[in-house]
Amino acid sequence: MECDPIVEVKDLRVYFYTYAGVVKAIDGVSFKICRGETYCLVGETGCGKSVTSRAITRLIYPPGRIVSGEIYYYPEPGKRVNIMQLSESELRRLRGEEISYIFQDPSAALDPLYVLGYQVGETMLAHKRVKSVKEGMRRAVEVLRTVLMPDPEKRASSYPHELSGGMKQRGVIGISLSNNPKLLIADEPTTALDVTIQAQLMDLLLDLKRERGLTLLLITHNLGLVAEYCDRVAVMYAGNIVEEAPVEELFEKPLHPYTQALIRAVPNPTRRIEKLEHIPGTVPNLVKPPPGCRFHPRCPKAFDRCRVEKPPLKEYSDHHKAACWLYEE
Amino acid sequence: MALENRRLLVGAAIVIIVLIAAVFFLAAREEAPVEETTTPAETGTPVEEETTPEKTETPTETEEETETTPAEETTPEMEGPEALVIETSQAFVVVGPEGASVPDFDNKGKPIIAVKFSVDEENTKPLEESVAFVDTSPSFYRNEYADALILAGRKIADPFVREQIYEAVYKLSNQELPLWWLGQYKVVFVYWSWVEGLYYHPTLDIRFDLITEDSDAPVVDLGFGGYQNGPNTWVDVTFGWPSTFDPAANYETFGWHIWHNIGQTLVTFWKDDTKNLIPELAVAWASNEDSTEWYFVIRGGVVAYDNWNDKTYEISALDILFTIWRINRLGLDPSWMITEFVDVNNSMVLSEEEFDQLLSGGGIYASYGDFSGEVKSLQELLQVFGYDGETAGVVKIKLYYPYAPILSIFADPFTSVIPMKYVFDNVEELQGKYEEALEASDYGKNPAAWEAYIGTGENDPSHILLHQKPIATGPYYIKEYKEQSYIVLEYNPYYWNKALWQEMFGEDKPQHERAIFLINDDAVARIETLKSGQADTGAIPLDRLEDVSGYQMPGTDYTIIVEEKGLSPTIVFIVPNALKEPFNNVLVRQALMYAIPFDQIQTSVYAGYIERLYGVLPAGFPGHNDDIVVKYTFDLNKARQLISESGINPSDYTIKIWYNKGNTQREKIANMLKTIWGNLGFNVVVEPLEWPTLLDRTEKGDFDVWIVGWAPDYIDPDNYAGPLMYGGTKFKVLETQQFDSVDSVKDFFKG
Amino acid sequence: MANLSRFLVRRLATFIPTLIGVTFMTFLIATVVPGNPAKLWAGGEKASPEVVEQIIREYRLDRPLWEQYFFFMYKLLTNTMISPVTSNYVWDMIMERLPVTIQLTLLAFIFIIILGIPLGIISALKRDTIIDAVIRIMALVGLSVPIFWLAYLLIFFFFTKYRIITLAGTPEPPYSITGIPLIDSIIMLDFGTLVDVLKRYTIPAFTLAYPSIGFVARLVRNSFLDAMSGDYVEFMDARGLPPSWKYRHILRNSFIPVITVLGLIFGALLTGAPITETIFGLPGIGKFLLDSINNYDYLGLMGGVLFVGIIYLVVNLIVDITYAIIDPRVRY
Repeated sequence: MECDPIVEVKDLRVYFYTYAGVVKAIDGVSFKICRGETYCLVGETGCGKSVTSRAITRLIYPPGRIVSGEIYYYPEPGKRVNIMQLSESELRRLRGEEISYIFQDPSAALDPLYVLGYQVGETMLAHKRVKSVKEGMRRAVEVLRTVLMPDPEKRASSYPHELSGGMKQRGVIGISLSNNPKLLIADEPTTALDVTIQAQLMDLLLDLKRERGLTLLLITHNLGLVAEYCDRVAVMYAGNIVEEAPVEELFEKPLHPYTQALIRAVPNPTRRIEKLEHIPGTVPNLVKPPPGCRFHPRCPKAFDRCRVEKPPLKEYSDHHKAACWLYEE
Repeated sequence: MALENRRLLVGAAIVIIVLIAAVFFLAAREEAPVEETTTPAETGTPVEEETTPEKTETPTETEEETETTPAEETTPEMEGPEALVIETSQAFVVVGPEGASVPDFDNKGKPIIAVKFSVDEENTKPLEESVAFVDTSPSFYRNEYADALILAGRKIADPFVREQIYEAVYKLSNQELPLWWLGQYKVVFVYWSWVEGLYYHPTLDIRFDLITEDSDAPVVDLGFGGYQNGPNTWVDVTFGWPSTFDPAANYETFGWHIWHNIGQTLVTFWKDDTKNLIPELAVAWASNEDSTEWYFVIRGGVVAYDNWNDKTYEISALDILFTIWRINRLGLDPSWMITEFVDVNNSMVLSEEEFDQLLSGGGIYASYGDFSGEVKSLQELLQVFGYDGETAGVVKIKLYYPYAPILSIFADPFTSVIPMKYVFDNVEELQGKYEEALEASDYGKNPAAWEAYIGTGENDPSHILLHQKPIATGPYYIKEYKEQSYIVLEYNPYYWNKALWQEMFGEDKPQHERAIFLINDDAVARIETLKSGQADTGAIPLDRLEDVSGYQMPGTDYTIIVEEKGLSPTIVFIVPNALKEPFNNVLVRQALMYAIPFDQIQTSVYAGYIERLYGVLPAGFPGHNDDIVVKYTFDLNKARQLISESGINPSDYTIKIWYNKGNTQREKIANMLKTIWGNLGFNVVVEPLEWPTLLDRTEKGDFDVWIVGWAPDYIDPDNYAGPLMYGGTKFKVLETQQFDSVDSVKDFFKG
Repeated sequence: MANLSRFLVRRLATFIPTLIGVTFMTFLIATVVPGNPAKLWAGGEKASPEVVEQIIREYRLDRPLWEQYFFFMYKLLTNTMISPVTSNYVWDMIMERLPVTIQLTLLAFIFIIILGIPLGIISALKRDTIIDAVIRIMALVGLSVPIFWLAYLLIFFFFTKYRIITLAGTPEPPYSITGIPLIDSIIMLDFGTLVDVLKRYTIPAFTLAYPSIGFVARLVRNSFLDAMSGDYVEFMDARGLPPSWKYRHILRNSFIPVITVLGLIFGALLTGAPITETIFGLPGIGKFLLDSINNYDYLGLMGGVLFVGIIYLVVNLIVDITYAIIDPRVRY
């Protein structure tokens, strides 16, 4: 597959300086997102996937800091923007106009004191798509229509608490896409919603992606969604990417023991099982992570080298990378 | 309604019901009679069974001759009533019922004043129905001998006889101890050294035009109204607020202080002279022979200044009558001083001619300066008083009975004159009815007719008018005031006595053109205000006097002076319930008098500013004579001795000492007594009560012991002996006569 | 907003029972529990029985409680009730003292707003720095320090040492538009009077405001921090909104609890401040209530309590309505 990268992340480190110590949330992460694809970032809670997605536009708040690494954005093939070197105002222009976000909890994303249409219009005004908030509010109705919001006029003048979860998320999607970004980062967009809405929204997202030629970075812990909607998948554990592969490859031939355990842990609804599979142990302390491979304390296949040296993410077969000593002769 | 709402309502209802129930329960508890002390052993008025003036029940003859009491009281024989013989400084006073036997005694060449009485049983109210202070003494002590002396003192005009009688009363009060006399306050002045001429009068405060300041005194901004405190302004920083600006309703010191400066009364005292009344609105006065009718010739040319409407009113005898009549009619706080003595509806206005004619008929006497005798014409009367100016009518004041101190009452600021027309001009309902009211009263001959125009009580419109807009006849008028903040007085341009100012200052106005009261209830703020020079004087608490004394104004030689100016007539005492055991026993009362730690009280409660008091009359009043009384000391041995003599067992009694809540001085005294009396064997409990409750309970005798003070309303010993010692006995016969020999006295009582 | 009018009606309907409850409680506690005040009102222990009788008649003290209560309330509300202790019309007295209290309230409120709110925001923005710590400690001090101590301290500095303020009188201009000298002097550009008013009221107002400044600062700080950590803030960043717009959102959100508290504080200030007024010699409502209690002026007290009750009810109502207007989530 030809990859025309739209975002490239090289050896990114993001640390959080807390009272408890320095939390090495992301410790050397590198990946590329290809234009037009749906790239998924999967992992347990706390593995660093959200932080990674935020880091792309430097949306990291104190006590967190991007310690080192490179982040590049390619608005068009051949044009490269070094995100680490952007000024504040350039960054602000980037956000929303080039790269947009959808967050997990739509209730939290919207300001409860303003009507939905205002927040849409406001975003458009910020990026100079409209000349005034009033105009923006009028255009908001159209925006909401495109995200298939039922009765968009009414919804545009409704307050967030008057809308259901699904409607709110549609609104959020509308806000994010109102300025026609090229990359949409969706951090667990459907986790807070119920399953039927989930499907609706994901389909909406995909439709919009297709219509507008968006690239989608999807962060989730739901392997079902991954299987359904993703092109390529990266599995993160304890602040590192441990495996990256096209979606079918990942499910058919997971290399990393963690990935294998994850997949095994998903119960098959059609089969009767005695006991739910789980991965023994807990996610490591990121202030003092275990030496060597961070997964080794829980890994059934761990051996000496794992405890001492951290395995790099290496490509072991076609576009299939893994960070595990098992595959190193 | 919705379920939640219903529950809320029920919950609220329950809470309210519980609260109301609690309050009622508490209220009921408060009113339940207090039963701990033993029930009174002596009920009613055992007037007849007395053989001695003491109320001991023990049949054995307890001589009151312990070494502490002077030995004039001869032991009574047990047959028939005995007269009581009391030696005073310059006489002997013998008092007793008709037919009493007079014991032999040596009168040492001194005159004997005999008081013979016959008790009017029917009209004497029983003690259970009497009200403290009003019908009887606060301790419900009743002694017909003392009562006879007190009532006799009221009616006598002769100052010598009066004085001796009051000395006898004083002595009795010291022996019998109807109350435990504690002390008399000392007067302390706090003022800047640039102030000159401060004086002290027991009931009349300073007049601002009679005191002066050093003309170099610093000028300090007051910060409002453009006012400054300089040599021309007198500033007093104090607390509280006058209860009202209507003199007829004002019965407290602050209000009287102000009215003494803005009003004029019939007679007055000059500065600190407490003995001689001098003319003010009345240029001359006289009375009939038995002093039941008094005539006051009113000064002409006196003008009242209504600064609210910028008008003036001429004052005449009619206004005087109206003023006094109105005090009685309104029936507010100070009114008893008029109501009790003055028959207002039979008082009237006389023209100069009518009065002259009356005088020519004889029977009218005047007493002023060196003169004392009958006057037969108005001209003669005016000459006695040395007055030759204009007059504005004559007022005849009729008394219910002869009452010598009535003149002192007419010096009190609450009798300040109010022009009748001012009231009629400014009260809506009365506007235009002035002539009508005058006619109805026959131009002052029948004041009762004014009842149709002036009402009673707090809601009467004339009261409301004067309360808000007082009218001035005196050296100052009230220019402006803001409740609880300040009062500004300005010199009265229409004051009739500008000659006084000319004499004192060479001008038509006094040096103090203005007088300002700054009100602040916080002692620290007052102290700072005084120190800053914004005030010339101020009300500083006794325990803070040291802080300000000697303070020097930076950059000047002026300092703050703290000066003891003598004794005030305000006294403090402890009240026993003489109807209850053990206080009905005089020995017990005397014992407990020896158990009062006066020195300790003086230093720790009053910071030294109190003087010991041994009887009912304070220093400065005729009758007060510490040479003839027992000077009780703090002596627990004597106390114990007297208690054992009395035959009571202290541990049988639980005594409750009450004081009004919040008064820390009385609280301290009560607690001291608790300790000491406890040492003597009594069970003592100290309780603070809210003032209204305290008044309620003590009014009818529902108490054991309480602590209270007394300030006089007018300068006369009767204002002490009356309310504090007079037990309420009424007499059919009460005669006083002076004799030279014991035999003639014996005859007097037999005949 | 049709719901709003129904809500208003329901709230107003609870006014009357609440006022009755409050005044009746006061009446019971003031008159029934301590005993008959007639003798006291008549002059104390010297009072003659006739005068006492007259007072009992005039004030219906011999009637059943219910009748007394309704008689008092009726006379109070029609301003025909004359207090036997002060001889003034009770309601007039309260109204006369109102300008003093209003001036104190306004100035104190200004202090609270210009000091409390910025300090709170600074504290929030500089969270966990020394500045933040200092501000929070001062706030705690403000709430713990006894008012009279602070008052004396300020008097010592501003009056005794440096004669900047005044402690006496109440500056009033000869004209009257609203009856409140502070406002009138500004309207008429009368700077002389304005300066006098400020000299008199500024330090007392500050003393009064001090604990509330601390309280409001802490409230603003916490509210602001709360609002800042809201997820919509992150989303605003993600949308690329300029920072000023972001702070506008944060402020508006953080101000909801603050505004309601400010409203309640205003109401509390308006009902008077007994200690401050006493120390600085200002005849306001707080002092009036205190004096009424000390002088056993039960009728004045009832009038004062009625007034306070009305203020509280009205202020609470306004605060509730304001809250409903500001916050769309809270609607009736």
